[in-house]
Amino acid sequence: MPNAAVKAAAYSLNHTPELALWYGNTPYVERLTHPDSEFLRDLPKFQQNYHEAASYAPNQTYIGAMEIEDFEKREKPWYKNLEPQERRYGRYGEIMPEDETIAFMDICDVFDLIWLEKGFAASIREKLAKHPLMRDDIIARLEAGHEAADIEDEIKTAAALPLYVDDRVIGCARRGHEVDPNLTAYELLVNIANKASAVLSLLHLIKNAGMKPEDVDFVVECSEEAAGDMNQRGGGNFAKAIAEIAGCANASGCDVRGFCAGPVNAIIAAASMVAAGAHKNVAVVAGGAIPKLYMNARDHVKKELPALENCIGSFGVLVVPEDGALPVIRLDAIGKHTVGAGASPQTVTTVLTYDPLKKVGLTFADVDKFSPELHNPEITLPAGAGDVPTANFKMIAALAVMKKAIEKADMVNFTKEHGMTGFVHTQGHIPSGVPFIGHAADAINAGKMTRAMIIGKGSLFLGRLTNLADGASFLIEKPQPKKEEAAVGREEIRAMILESLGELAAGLKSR
Amino acid sequence: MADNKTVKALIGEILGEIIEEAKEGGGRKTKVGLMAYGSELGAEELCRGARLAMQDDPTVKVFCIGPRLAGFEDLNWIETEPDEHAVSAAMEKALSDGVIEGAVALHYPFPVGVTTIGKIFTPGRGKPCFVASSTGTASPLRTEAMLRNAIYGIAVAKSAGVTDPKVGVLNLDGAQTVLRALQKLKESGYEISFADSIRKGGGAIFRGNDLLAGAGDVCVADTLTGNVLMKLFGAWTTGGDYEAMGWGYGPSAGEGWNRVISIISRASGAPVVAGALSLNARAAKSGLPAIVAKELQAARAAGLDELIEAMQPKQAAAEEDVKAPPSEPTDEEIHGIDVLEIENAVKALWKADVYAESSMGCTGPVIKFAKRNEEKVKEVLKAASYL
Repeated sequence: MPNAAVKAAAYSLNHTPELALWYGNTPYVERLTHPDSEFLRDLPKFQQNYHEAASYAPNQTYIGAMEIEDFEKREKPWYKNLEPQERRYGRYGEIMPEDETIAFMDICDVFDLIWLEKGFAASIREKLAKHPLMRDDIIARLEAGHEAADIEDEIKTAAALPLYVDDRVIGCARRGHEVDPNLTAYELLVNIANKASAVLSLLHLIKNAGMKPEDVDFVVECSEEAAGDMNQRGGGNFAKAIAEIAGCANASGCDVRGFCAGPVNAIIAAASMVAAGAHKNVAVVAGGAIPKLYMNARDHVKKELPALENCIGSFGVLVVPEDGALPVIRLDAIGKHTVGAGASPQTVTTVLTYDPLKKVGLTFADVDKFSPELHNPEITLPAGAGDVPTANFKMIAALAVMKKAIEKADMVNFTKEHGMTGFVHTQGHIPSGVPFIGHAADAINAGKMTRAMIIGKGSLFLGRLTNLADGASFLIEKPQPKKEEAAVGREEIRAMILESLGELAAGLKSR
Repeated sequence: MADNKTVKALIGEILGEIIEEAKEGGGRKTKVGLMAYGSELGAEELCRGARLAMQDDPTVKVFCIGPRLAGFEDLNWIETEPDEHAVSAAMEKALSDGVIEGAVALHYPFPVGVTTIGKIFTPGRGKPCFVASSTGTASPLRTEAMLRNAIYGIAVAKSAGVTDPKVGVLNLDGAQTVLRALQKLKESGYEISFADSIRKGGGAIFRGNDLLAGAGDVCVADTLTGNVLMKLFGAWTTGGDYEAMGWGYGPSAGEGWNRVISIISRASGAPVVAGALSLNARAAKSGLPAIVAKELQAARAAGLDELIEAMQPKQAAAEEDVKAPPSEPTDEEIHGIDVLEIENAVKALWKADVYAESSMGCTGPVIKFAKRNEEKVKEVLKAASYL
């Protein structure tokens, strides 16, 4: 069974507290329904500024500026015990501030939907020009800008949405159609932010892989947004749109959807393409979601905690043919949640962890680290949603006890050793297993880890299309040295030697 | 193929093997280690066994592991300090380095799930019989262990050249359950042949008479009973302090276990040591671990896991099974309930006549229900302290 390998990973965050304040779903809907609620009044007081966000341990861990083992030693609460040094860049990506993000959204907009105020456009051009990955062809896409009055007018008369930096309107997001509900300013703003954050991760991915944009053959995108119009609401192709801006002239692409199980399915699809030889270098990417910003802010404000959901997350993984050295994605041990499987946590966990392992003669202890949803508990606990990663590890440990792989007394130890603390923003598909791929691949390359399991699950009922649960999983591990070849070689060589000795003997006899 | 240099090295290595075989005669020898220290009968007994093994079986090349013994300098030695830990360590290293392909040990810390299959000499007709199993244990659960012993017993018999081993289950507590399970495996396609008791009525349940008469090739028992049989059939002619007959406690087998380690006891005499070495070599040469894996796979394809699952003790069905109210679309979900309590929480809602179902989406464990029941759900869950 041929496999595929992980060449590189990229993870970035766009810190956009003002997009969150104005266009995160919870405050946005509140502003429509209860415009003068206490929540809206107090929310601005609980913002986390860029310096704090870039010194926040979970964020640094996400972009690879901190190891997970070090992160787990940090004192809690993390939002109080900030790191001494803010980190703009990490091994995998960056934390981009809001002004550059708005400008980058304009760069990624090819339908003049984002207008920037002239002065802002000029100053941000200089700032962006210093960015290590902003090539000239990318910066060239930044518009010269519009008069403030024109922007003001577009907002008043054409239902455009104002864009803020430091509480000042520095542009607007325009609509794409007078009546089409899929082309409103809000929908298009969400799609462009998703696209821009994905392009950012793709640029980092290409750099991390030591490749050129033209080397990318195919892009598989796996966010949860929908791009389309009245006649085809989810037509898509975020993948190709993203590849275009990143400069991947030789790539094509397509989107994979599965709610939060999108990314794991996208990586399995990409690995299958590569293993089958359909494409060589496949980039799996996904941008983040404006609607999920400040999703739990109501509870955070009520408990007087900082509204931490202020970053649009994005990721990228480059899948290439296996070469005996890079960590391998095993296609013979895929976890699959079937239509027939039940939805209970135990069943879902069984079909995604125990079953694939058993298929290849492995057991729980053979997986150094399980990586299910990795939500940052500091965000979810105050919102009453519990500690999602820990709940997953507890279920896996309980299952291991049931299957007699570990003793009941070892459960706590098992969750600590084979699990990890959540460090990812509640950006839906983003925390869904894949944030650990970069850390895992590095640990495997450094010989500190043998095998990790990446698990993604989806809540399909949200779309009202089915009530089924969903999920997939795969293993990443150290490549097996090619043993069989040598053994076969051995027997053949033995036969050849005996044959030639036989000829030698016959020769000697007949002389 | 790899580059030239490694191919040439491979050819040289194999040519060396062929020359060595030609010089020593008797074809490729299987290299087997022997713990040559720690027997109640003295180290000489063990070394005599080594020499006897190579004399009776030219395919075996024995490496004695322990302090070099005067009078046995001609044997191949892996020398160690006169200390059992040192001997064990040297054996492990020789096995991992491939100096030896199998080993006969006086003791070995097998993990749970790995057991050894012994071979005894049955006096009635002088026939050998494999005793599955003799040391270690295939599972803490007795019936599961005996079922696995049958499969491992078949594998070891096959590795020793018995192509279609006849299997009998010793009449112990749980024998019927095990036999029924084996018969079900056979019905679902697993190849197994059952022995026939010499007692009237026959059948595959063995009594003591069948052991004395050697009515089958493999006798399935739990490991403690097996161990007693090994000692009885090995030492009944010597009054018990010297095991003179049989092939020892036999090679190890277990799920995913890939080492060929046989066990003898501190009272095993030279003939048993020699028999154990020869049996170990045969198992190593034929690749016992792969045979065990193949047998397990065939049995698993015939439903082994389900049969084992059915043998597990059922938790007492304490809570009476509550019936769910008629199902309805669940368009709301609630989070934060402890994942290990979630099924009980769902039942609490069913009892309050609220339809609910548990799930695990991407936001952790959740209970889903119809939105109109939201208040009642929170009320019930708070009352039962799930929230």
